[in-house]
Amino acid sequence: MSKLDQSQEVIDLARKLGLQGTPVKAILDHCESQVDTWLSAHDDVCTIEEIERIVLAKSQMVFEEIHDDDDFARLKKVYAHGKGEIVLASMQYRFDDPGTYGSLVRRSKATMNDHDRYVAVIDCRGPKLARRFFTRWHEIAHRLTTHCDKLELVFTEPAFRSETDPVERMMDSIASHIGFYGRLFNPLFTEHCHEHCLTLDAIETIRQAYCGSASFQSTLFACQNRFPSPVVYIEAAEQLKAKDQRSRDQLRMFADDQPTPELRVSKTIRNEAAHESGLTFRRNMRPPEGSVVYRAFYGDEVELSGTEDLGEWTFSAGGSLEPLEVLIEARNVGDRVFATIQPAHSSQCT
Amino acid sequence: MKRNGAKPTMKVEFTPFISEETAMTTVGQRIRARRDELGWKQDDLAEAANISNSFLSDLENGKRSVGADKLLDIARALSLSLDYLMTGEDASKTKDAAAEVQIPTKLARFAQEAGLTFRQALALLDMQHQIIAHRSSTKKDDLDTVDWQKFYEAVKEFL
Repeated sequence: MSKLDQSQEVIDLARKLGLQGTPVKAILDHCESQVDTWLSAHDDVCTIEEIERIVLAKSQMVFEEIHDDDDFARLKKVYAHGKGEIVLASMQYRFDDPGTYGSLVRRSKATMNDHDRYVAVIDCRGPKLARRFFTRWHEIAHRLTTHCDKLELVFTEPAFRSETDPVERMMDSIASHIGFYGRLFNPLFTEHCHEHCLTLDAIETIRQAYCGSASFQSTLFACQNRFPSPVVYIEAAEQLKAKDQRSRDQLRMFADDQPTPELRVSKTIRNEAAHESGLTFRRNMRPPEGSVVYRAFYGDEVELSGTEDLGEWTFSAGGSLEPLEVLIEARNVGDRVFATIQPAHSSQCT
Repeated sequence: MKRNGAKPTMKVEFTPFISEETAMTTVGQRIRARRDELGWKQDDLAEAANISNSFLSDLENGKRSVGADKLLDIARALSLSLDYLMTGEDASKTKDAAAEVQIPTKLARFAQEAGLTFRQALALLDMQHQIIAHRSSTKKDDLDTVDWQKFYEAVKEFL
């Protein structure tokens, strides 16, 4: 079982929804089943945008997107002045937080039949626009699970959570699952993905065919989740060692003591197959200078690929990763590099 | 305030039912008890119910009776049922438990500093509860870390 399956919050959520079995799978199946039921009367649906429209209508939910400050003024006018939903006049200061992409509000004055009983406000300004597609499905995931009608009077958990919170990660899993709806996504995935090798090019082809407004990253995760062989996704950026960051935060360093940030792994996500095989990376590891990841960050090329031995990846305290020949594809996106890492023996990319 | 290191909150009880220990026998006494519970002066209730101070004073002291329409105004102002005011019992037994409203300490403090009424503070709290899912870059948040000042500034024209 994954870590998420073992988190008490996700176990509790599955129980509250009346689900049995492995919590994450049970919750994903529950959401997919709900969407399937709603779509059963719409055989001609052939895009994810159409599916979203139907799901929103059934969920009595609407989206309000913020592209500039005028949109906050519009929210205030339409909802606070027009419908007496004063809380929506407070959205502007709430979205000052760079980590806030969306907020789901239950209207207090809506009737049970109103199409907009729930209003999800999505921040689409600046770099947050790239996550628009995924954020919308993330909010839908909340509506389908933590705030579905049968739980409205039961679910009293805190509404404000960080992105590492198990419930938030569960919502991300749901968004990745139903936002990349099987009936539409799986045929494209099968058509364009080699059985043993997931390439960045294939992901981009799938993304454009499925939904151009979906981000590359969310499409990558959707592919990674479905891929039968081990794939680890990592991000690497220049940062301090954890203990140096703590010392700096506590102002315990003199100017000439300041350590230099180095390229380190800042995020790592494994698919199920990688979890089962034990293929893993640790946060804060430094990619060796010869690594594809290192060269992609400091070199001139935006994209690089190649094979290397994970045994070259060492820990500052000593030791290294288990030796394994892997295929790495890396892309430089400015302030960081992201990369997919797969065992080379199972990768037969042409 | 709670003790033992637990998160302190101010608890304000809206208790539409009086316990047997303080059973009231007259309408006036029930009105007086409820007014005391809310911390209101006679002026406050008189204004809220649109009656005169002298009328209210006579009523509370059992010196005069009151018609149904005036009693309804008083009941509404005190957030009590008419049944209860008239009989000391409430027909809707579904409300057996006292309805408690816990005001987070930070909100209570801000409300006091800003001179908000209790109703305004409660309105802020109710609105905060309407936000049912919100991801932030900080750790799990709770009502004691909400920026009530900014919240109030954003919505005060409506309160």
